Amino acid sequence: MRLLLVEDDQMIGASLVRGLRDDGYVVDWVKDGAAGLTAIQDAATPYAIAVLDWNLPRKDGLSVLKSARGAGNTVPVLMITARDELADRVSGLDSGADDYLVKPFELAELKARLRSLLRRRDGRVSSMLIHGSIVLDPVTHTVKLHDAAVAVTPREFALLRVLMERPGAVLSRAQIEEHLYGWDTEVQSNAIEFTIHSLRRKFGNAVIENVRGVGWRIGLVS
Amino acid sequence: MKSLRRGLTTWLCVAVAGVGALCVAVGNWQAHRETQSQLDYQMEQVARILAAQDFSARQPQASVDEPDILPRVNITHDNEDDLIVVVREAGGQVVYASKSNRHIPGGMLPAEAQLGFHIRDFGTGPFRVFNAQSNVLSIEVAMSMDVISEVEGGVALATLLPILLLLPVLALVIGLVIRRHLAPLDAAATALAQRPAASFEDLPVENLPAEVRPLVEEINRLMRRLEATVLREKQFVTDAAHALRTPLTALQLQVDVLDGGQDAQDKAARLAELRTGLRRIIRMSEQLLSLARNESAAGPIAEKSDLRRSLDEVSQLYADAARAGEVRVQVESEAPVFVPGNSRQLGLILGNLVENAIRYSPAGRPVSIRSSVAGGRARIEVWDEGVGLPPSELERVFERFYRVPGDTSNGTGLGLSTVDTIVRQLGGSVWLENRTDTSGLVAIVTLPAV
Repeated sequence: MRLLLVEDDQMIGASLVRGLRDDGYVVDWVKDGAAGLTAIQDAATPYAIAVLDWNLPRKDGLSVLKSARGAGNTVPVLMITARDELADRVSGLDSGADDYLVKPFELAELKARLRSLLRRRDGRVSSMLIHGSIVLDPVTHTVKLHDAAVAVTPREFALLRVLMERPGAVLSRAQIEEHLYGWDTEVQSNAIEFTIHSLRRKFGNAVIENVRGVGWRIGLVS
Repeated sequence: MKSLRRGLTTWLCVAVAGVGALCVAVGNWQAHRETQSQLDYQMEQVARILAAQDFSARQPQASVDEPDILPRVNITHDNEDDLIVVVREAGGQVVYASKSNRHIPGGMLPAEAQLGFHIRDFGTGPFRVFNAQSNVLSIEVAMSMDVISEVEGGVALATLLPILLLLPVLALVIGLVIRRHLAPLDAAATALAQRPAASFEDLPVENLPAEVRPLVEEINRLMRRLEATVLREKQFVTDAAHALRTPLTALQLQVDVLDGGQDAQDKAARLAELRTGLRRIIRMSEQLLSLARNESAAGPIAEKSDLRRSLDEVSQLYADAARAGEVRVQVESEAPVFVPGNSRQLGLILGNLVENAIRYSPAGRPVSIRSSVAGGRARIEVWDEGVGLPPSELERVFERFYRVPGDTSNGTGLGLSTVDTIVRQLGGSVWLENRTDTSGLVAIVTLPAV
């Protein structure tokens, strides 16, 4: 799950990146509005969510949001801001923000709102992802097979999640890598295959289907 | 408490009463004099008329008790009954006596040698007597002093009654007039008492008397100054609360991610970040406090300090940095220079500027502090070799809580604002200039040398 974080405060940004990475998100962090807009518009694979601070140097968050929406970009946007006036909240939401969080906030709330945005994006009512007999819970970071918990690494969890969020869709290696790695991560050429291999070992070979020459999709485990 | 209304009413009533008493005294005296001369004139007239009468044909009166044997003397006056008239022949024989002579037991005694007006007592109290003598007749006209007093009393009463009746009316009118004229004051006080504490609206001055108007206008001016102060304080609190949100959010998040972390190194890094966050908010609260303290400081600057001592203190504070070549203090004048302000204020000015310079200087590049005196002003310059500032930001950075966009240092946006506040109070000025010799900024403070 790849997020864009646009935040100019060094400390807030650093902690958000840590907290979100702990949860398996891949976070790209930029520190001004102009860079944020570029990142939103130029992303090869659209970001799952953009977390956008309101007060930003070079281009404030609201302008970034308006420009992105004006260009037809539909990335879900969570605004974070120190402004708590009703008028600010209204203008933020009206300018195309999907949610609004007022500083100071707790990481748990931010994460819950992110999950809620993802559910809404996918048209789901529950955060829980269910495919056949596999149940993935993004809140508790657990995966169950036939109601029995299966221990997975953060990378395995992330890959499984990416595929389970798009049942039926075939994702290429590049697309999966986009979702799994930030700008600052060096991707090893066989990392995806390695992760798929260990997932198949834990859930059975059918869990991930290989579409030769195109990519992978989630499969049904009996 | 002194009451205008009570004072005015009391003293005006005392004055009215005093004037009233004076009126009574003068009136009494006047009535006495008037009545006296009136009655004297009457008595004289009666005597004159009697003197003109011919009493020769009359039988000498046998007794004082039978005055009616005499023909009626044609005299009319208001006090016919009160006037006692006795006419005697040269021999002492009474030829005429008024009926009223009977009021005196045994009748009026013959006049003695006394002529004209005099007081005599016939045993029933004092009488005022007029005695006129011709060759043949001795005429005495008398009136009881009691009667005279009575008449005087009547006259005095007639004169004084209107005044006495008017006095209470006058007092009442005075009271009403005072009340009426002081009513706008009462109204102003009521209006003032009823307004909510947060209201700084002007008190109305339209209906106020000219004497009170300046006072109320002054109160209104004071209110406006107070309002400005309160608004400034309110803005400060709002700004402060707002400015605290970012460091507080950082703290919250730094705490939230503490239990995460893959290895010991990661955990240590998270703890270190939390410490930095705490330091930032502590520094911010200190700066807020110092700004608030300096903004509320008012009044003349009594203290003065030796600028060189303050510079020494600052260079001691940054001794480590100085050893590393990061701070250089150059004092051009050897003589002591005294500037207004105490060591705390000067320490805040210099400390904030030097700290800024160090913060924005590339590591290892020197920050130099120079001081000089010229034209009665001390000049302190803090030079850094940072990136300088866009010209549009040179003044804005003095605004409270203002941060240059994109500034990722841990500044609070309060340091320069504090410096500006203090320098102004000390009668100096502070500004920033971009260096022309190399990239970097110069902060310049001038203070009056005292």
